[in-house]
Amino acid sequence: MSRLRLTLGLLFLLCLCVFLSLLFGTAPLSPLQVARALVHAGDDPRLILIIGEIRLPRALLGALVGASLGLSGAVLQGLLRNPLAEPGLTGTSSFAGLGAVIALYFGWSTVFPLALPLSAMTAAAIGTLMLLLISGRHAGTLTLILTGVALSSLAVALTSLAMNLSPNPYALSEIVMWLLGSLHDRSFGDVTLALPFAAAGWVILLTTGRGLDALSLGEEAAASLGIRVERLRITAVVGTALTVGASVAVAGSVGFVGLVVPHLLRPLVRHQPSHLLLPCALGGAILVTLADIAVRLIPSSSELMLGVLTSLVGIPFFLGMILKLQWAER
Amino acid sequence: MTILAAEKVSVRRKNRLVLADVDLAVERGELVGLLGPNGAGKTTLLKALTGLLPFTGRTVVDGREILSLAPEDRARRLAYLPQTADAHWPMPVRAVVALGRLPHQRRFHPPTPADRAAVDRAMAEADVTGIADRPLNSLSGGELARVFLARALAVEAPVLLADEPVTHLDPGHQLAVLDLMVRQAAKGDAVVVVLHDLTLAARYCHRVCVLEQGRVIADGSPASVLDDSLLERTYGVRALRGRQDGQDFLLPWAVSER
Repeated sequence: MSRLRLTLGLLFLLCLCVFLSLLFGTAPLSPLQVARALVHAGDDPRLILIIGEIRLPRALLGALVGASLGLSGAVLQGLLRNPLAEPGLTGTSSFAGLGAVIALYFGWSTVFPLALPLSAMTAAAIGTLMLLLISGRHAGTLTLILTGVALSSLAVALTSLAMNLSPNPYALSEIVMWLLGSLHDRSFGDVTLALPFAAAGWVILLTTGRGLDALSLGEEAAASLGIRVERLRITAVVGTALTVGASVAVAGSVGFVGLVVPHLLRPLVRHQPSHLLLPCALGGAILVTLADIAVRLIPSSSELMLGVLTSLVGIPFFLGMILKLQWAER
Repeated sequence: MTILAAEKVSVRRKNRLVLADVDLAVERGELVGLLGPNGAGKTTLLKALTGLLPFTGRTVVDGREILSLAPEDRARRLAYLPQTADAHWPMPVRAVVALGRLPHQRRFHPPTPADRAAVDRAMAEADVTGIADRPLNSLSGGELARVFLARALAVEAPVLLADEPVTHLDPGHQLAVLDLMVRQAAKGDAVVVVLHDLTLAARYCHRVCVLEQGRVIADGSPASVLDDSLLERTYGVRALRGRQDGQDFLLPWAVSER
């Protein structure tokens, strides 16, 4: 399949999924009603309100979060040359979550709305830098997973500490629910908060393709081809911190998207790291949008959390990949 | 005309002198074999020449100090084939060889017809055209070695630095790779190749440079350098010598008695 066809196909699917996502909610709406509300042609102002103020921001945030996670997964995997690198597993998301919790805990976010994403992104950058420093230049599977476990545990422990010391139970439950990952009750305010950072991160991450291709030959061969490997690494850290930090700031932690999407798409681009980037952004957006539709459709007493669903689907996938890698290394 | 030169190059690692005041000058059209026992500093010298590790001294390509060149400029002048060439994703052969064109390509620009032609030439030279579409993980060790050689050739740099390119190849492909290096040199390129096989070095190289414990202990034509006393001192072997098809050959025959 040609790259252009793949990209266009995924783009079409994404548009379809976002539209589908507008159909589902507390009140069932027909596609026609949704379409009319989208172009503000309906005669019912409540419909325009539901679509424009509730469902559209949710759908857009789903796409934003998915694109960020899919893309950063593809870049981290190319950088570390390991298909298991993923913001959730490497601890980057946990760090972003810690940063966000700190902002919530100290009440910075109520004083200054940008404090939440800024804090999440700073923490994500710290987490990614620590990952690169500890796991080394060419992370073997074991080192990578162990480093990820250690960093996640550290972030989770500090997050727990914050919850432990939390002054009132209401703040506590807010933090917990938010950490589970959800797109419930988001507004356009959240979109405008996250989009500038996420978009900047996308642009930065999409420039890494050439370096990631060269890096598949190893660091020395890449350097001998004129790639500035140190600069590539910093670019990836900054881009990952922006995208993951912005996503976590608006949606909490949604795991395994960055693992599953590159894995599914890699054979379609014949494993070339640079060709994987844009498709992974689109694929991640599709996956999270679909998952967010699923949490609304699955009947349960309270709405299933998005992060819980992606983890439930992602973990068996992850275990399968580990087994496959073990088999290959034998 | 000298195209590549190392002048008093020293590399210190953990307080040990890995290379000590190494001088090397390579001319256009010359195939130079870098010889020496394990740990003599052959790989370190190639890396220093490529600018991959810190050193003291001076390295020059094409009359310009190598470290003063921008990474892309350097990459267009020096093609480097590492000893443990590997690719971490099972990309198709053609895509791997095409990575050699990166120094020539502008960011976000598709490959030009010149790039494609260079990739085709490199694949033909290294005899991998027939497997251009196969993924790397389906190839044998010998095929892989030729793919990475093609990747280095695709750079079309005037200098090729190859670290043990024949080590994992069967005899037929070893001869084919050295024939290829001779052809590259005949085209006017300078080729520096790390070899362990003295027979191949003596037969193919225009010049051999022998390193021992980080120092150059001999530099000259294979016939003058690879004499019995050097083989005994450096490698501890005795060689069988003969003549075939009008060429002298040597074959490490036995461990020397002393």
